[in-house]
Amino acid sequence: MTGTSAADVWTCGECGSKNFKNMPACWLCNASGQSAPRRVRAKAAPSAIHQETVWEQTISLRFVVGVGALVAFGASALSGPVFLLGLLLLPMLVVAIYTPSPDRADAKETAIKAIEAFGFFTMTLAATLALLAGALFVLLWTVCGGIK
Amino acid sequence: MSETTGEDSGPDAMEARQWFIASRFQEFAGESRANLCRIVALGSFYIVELITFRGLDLGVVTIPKEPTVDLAFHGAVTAICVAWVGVAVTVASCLHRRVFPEKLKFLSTGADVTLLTLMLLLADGPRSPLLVGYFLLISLAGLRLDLQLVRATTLACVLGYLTLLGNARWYRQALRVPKYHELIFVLALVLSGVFLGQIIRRVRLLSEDYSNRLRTAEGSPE
Repeated sequence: MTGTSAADVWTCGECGSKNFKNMPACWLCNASGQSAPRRVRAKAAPSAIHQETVWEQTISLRFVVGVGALVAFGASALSGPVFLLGLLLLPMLVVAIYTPSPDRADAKETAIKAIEAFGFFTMTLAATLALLAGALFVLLWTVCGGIK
Repeated sequence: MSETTGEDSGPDAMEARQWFIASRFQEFAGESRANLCRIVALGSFYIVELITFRGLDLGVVTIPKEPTVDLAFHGAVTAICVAWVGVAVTVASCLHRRVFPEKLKFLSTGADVTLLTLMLLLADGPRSPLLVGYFLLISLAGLRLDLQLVRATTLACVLGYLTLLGNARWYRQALRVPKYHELIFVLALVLSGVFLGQIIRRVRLLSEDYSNRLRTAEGSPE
């Protein structure tokens, strides 16, 4: 979800949604990007994707990070393949955070980048802490013979 | 919601094209919201599983550790949850990249039904309280405002439930439920899909009526 510059995107003249430069047709309405009347500069038209939806996707990622950390915590109580499977969540979450979006090419780009950087940091910290806390919990459980 | 290229001329083709674009926007917003709901529900149910696995004692609220939820069960549930988070991450990535083919909603819903059925096969099958998850999935399908998806989800949920019944009948007979129980549940699933389909039809009629009234109001003198 990194920011993209205005030069990297084009806006569909028919439905108003933003597309990456390399997309031959609009992702939403399939209008061809090659036909001139339908292809306008990204700054020329506001994005048709409502800001609320963009915001919702950001919130959605936060929840994915939170639940990913929770499941990583649950996996840390285990050993073997399931624990390794839990560890797999980390790179998956990184991929999710750094997925680019054409709707990031706007005036708020800098602020969004800062928020994204914070999100990435939070995600890494939360998942690492969850795994460590889980591992510590299991260690204490084993040493003390079960926490009553 | 069939695709219309908009190359045909005439008011009908234009209206169909505009309806297609509006529907695609709603599908996109619906898929985004459905993914958020998916991850919230997954997190909530996983917390319940963690509580039953470890037990909870807050003084006022005490939930004892469930003896049937052992380490092996917890491991299997966690593995399914990892896969489910993977589905949510994939859908989120697709939406951010604007990779939004029409079949995405079918794939994500199919994954939901499959993972829920696997979870129920691990748990108490047709006796599990998690069966309500099928109704949640049918509701989620309604968020995309697509009749075909609601029908497909309802059918998939019925097939998932029948899988559980087959598993109980041939492999875990202790989990079998009475015939009337099975019939009521299948009927409830089908009727949920039908009712949700009616809501989606009403939404379309509402939008058409609103659009017509706006046009009439604009055409009438002050």
